[in-house]
Amino acid sequence: MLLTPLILLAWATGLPGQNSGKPGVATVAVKGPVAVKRGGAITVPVTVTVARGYHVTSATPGDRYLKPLRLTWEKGALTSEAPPRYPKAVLRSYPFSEGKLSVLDGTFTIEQDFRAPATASQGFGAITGKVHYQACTDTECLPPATVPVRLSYDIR
Amino acid sequence: MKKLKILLAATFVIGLISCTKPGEHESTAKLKAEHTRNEAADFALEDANGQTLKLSDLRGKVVLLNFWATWCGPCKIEIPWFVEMEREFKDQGFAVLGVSMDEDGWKAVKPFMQDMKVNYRMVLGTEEMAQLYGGVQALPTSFILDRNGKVASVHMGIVSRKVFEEEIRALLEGKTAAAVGAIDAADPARVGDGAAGAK
Repeated sequence: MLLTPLILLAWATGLPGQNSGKPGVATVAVKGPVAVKRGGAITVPVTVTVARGYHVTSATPGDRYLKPLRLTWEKGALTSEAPPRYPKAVLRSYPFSEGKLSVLDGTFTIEQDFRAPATASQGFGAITGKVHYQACTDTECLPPATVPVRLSYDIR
Repeated sequence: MKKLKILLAATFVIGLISCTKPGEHESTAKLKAEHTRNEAADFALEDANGQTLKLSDLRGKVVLLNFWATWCGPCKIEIPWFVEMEREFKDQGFAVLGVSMDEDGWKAVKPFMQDMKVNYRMVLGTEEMAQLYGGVQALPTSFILDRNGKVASVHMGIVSRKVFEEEIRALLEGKTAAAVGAIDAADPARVGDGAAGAK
């Protein structure tokens, strides 16, 4: 009686469109700790990997209803005065789109410039942020999702 | 026990309707055999005009229950079809009911409805309500209900307009499921079944 659903669960696992517990569709990695001198600046790459079969809407979707890719940071010892630099998106046609959509897939990097104030305390710390994205396959979409990011630093 | 029921129901939907890769969704109509259909869970939500809409008020009609969102590209393709289907089949006892899963609510949905000239009723879905329909993890997801309020077919992801029209016509004309390629599901999954959760 219970066997069929359990087999189907195993069968469905890993299929695009079914990972919409949403963790898993995109993963985010930041290398740390990064060393930065007081009063100095640093550029941090945030690497995003999108699961095969999916794409995410870019930071500049060109459609007011689409959810753009966003990297945001909480306030911390490192300050980010400029917005993140997103990778160049790909304009791609999909069966469901009249025009081309601005998307990203595979692995890409978002860059963020940080500055350590001259008055910052020396030592290790961390700043947290979030990557907001919305993913689709060629035929279906998952709800907007958020992945936390943590950047460890060493202010010298 | 309740959680197990919901898990099993969701699992069945996943396995039954989504065993395809992106771009390989079924292209032929497949209605469930009458004796395997479960009653769609009832709900009461406010529509775009602020009126309370109960799914059970549509009993007696063939209903296309479409879960969608404004940020969903594939949903945007289906909506003009649904607008035309509502117009074409309304007098035969058919209704489309849109369920928007937009977090931003009517602020996002109403302008979109105007842009798309939506002519059918719309409600804002809730997580609790979506759970009654297997969680509705991907959009679009559509349930086609027969005149008795039972789930005759489920489509996750965009499918062809032809499939929707064949299924709707068959249900309106009272054709047997066998005539349109029934899924003779022996599994007792109760997706959308009112017994699975509260209204």
